[in-house]
Amino acid sequence: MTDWCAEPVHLCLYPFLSAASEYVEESGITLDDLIHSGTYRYARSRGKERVIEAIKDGKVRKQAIISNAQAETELLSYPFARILVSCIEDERLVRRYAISEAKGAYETLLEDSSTGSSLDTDIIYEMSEEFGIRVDFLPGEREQVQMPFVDYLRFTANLRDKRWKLVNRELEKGKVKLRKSEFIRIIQEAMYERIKKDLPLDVPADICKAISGYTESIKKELEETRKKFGDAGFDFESGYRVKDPGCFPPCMSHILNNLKEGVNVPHSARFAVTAFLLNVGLTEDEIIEIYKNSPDFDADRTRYQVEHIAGDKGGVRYTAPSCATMRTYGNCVGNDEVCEKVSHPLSYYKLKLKKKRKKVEYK
Amino acid sequence: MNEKTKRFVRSKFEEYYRRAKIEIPRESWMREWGFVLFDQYFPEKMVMRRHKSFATSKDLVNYLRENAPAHAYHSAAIYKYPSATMANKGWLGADLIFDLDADHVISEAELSKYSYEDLLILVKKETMKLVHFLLDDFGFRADDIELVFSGSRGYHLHIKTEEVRGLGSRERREIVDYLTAAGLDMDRIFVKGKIRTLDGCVGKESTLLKPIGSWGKRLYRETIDFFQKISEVEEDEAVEELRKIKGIGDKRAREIIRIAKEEKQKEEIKRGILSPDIPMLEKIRDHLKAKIKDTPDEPVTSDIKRLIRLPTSLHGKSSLEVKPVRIEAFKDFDPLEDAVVFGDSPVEISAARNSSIEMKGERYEVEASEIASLPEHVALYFMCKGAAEIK
Repeated sequence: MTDWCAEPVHLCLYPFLSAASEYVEESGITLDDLIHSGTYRYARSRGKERVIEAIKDGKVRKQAIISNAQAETELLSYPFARILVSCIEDERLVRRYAISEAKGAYETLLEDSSTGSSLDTDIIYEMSEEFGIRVDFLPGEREQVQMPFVDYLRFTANLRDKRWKLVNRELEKGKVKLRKSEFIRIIQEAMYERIKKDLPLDVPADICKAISGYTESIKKELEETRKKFGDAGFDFESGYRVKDPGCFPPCMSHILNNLKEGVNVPHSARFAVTAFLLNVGLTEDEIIEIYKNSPDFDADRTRYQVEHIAGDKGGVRYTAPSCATMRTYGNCVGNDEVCEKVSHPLSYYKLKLKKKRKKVEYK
Repeated sequence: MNEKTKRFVRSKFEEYYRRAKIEIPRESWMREWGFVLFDQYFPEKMVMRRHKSFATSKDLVNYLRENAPAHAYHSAAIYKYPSATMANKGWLGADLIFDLDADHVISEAELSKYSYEDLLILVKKETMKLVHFLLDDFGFRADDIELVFSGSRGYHLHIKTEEVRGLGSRERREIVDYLTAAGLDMDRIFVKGKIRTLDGCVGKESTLLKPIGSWGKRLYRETIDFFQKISEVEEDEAVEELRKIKGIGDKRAREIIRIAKEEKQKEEIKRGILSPDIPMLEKIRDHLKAKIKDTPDEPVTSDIKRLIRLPTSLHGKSSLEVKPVRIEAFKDFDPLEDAVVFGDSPVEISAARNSSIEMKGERYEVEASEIASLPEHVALYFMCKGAAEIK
């Protein structure tokens, strides 16, 4: 590895790299120092800022770094931010935070790789190596790369836009050709995965208590943001606002009510509501929670079924059934005026959210 | 199938398993196994005995010899604990598998119009297509692809490289989508731009359609070939070809032919240029897409815990071998010859219904309630089909 890679000024831009955690480890700074020592109060407040930026802007911004000392502060703020997020115990915040970190790093990487110098390719190779992605620049090319389709699929199977579908790609002899900028988007997915990994950390209660000043103000921010956008919470990549039961179509609300009241619900309806909730961004755990009231609840079986519908690795495997299918299985409970305009429960949800958002905005 | 027939078929299967060299899949001890036996439920109810595992290949072979199963399967997946319940198996990875079966290749309505022999030919063609996709686009080596006749109406492909082992369901579904052209975005694979023509010149007009990606190129080539053909054949034949396309009637067809036959168009087509002036181009492309795409059964590939037939085992509904075929030899493979494992000694049967089959190049026909003496391999085929009982 070249020297510049190991410099804190570089590492602090990509604090999730293994070289970054090695750097922190070797620096001899202990967890105790990070939490308590006055020396690191800037790292701590920057750590809080990272999480706040994630909540407010959906992106952790790159800082102007001049000195090594600044870089070190920036670098240390990352593990601290992870501790903060972990203490708050909010699954959606964790996701939001990881996406925001990855987005920020993605933009930095875009810049870092378009300087016009040989460093452009170096940093691409550095990142690919870090994430175990095999990539080559096409001969004589600085903007075109190719990678094995297996690596390509690993990081794009969760991207929804059609352009990422393998079928719309150039695939020849097992290699997918991409523009460099597209490849960097794939790196963003890899970064997200890395950042999300191990989160939430298992932080001892006394540490969480010691930093409750930070977590409390984050929670406040979180609440305010959620209030501003209604119950909905955040916007995720799926384009749906997570979980706003007020906007669910009547069929789904009906099934959910039955589950809540412990009424036994037919399999087709369970499937529909599970797929629907996964589609709108609920986690598997949240859904299993919903089934707990069911008269025949069996934790293992439910988990297995929910995971099956979710697909492995947490990506959503099934889309909720359309209105036509819901009717076929007798799961449609009748229309309201929004139903008239849609043919799919998810479209209902989207439309209703849009209406609601407009109302909020123009209030 | 009455008890006597069942006993007979089972004894023949047992004979086979005693003499056959069974191909053991790699990491067989980490796989889940499942079997359907010639038990009291067979064949009305297929009771699958699954979640089995065998520590050694010898144990497996002994099981096959002792039980002579009607159907034998193993998991595409390898597990830490292959005999545990589904949730506790500890998935470690899975072979990439494909299943091409007649009932996915053509619609159910059409299925009954084909004879078994014709179905096999049709599915073989689809399988050939799949092999080409896997070699050319996905870059697998011929040695990496295990091609197997399913013993019934199709073919299975197993790919067991380390590379594919870790692919999740979603990733596998993407592969199927690639093969079936699902989600293919015409606007993405055909963009307006300058193209390099067949004679090496660059078409300067920026309104020309330029193919992007492998599907784009494949479809582009097919479209060029299609128009070349249209411009060369007799008008009536061209009309007939065009009218196969949904949304194109007689009038439209003739208009397309007129344009395709124009000197300027002919010239451009020859140079490999598709002019956007050609009407109904989109419909034509959709039609050609359906011709080029392949039709593997999606759930089989994307289910990472699927059971698949053990190659070299027997298929209890046909008595044919689940026969591995080398890709180089596939062209000449004839399942009704090469997957036949039983001999010619005569067996007396009583036919339950009218049936016919061509095996080993010989045609056999029986009529309902007819008593006939047939070569063992034909008799067993009819019995497994439920078309005959032993006399």
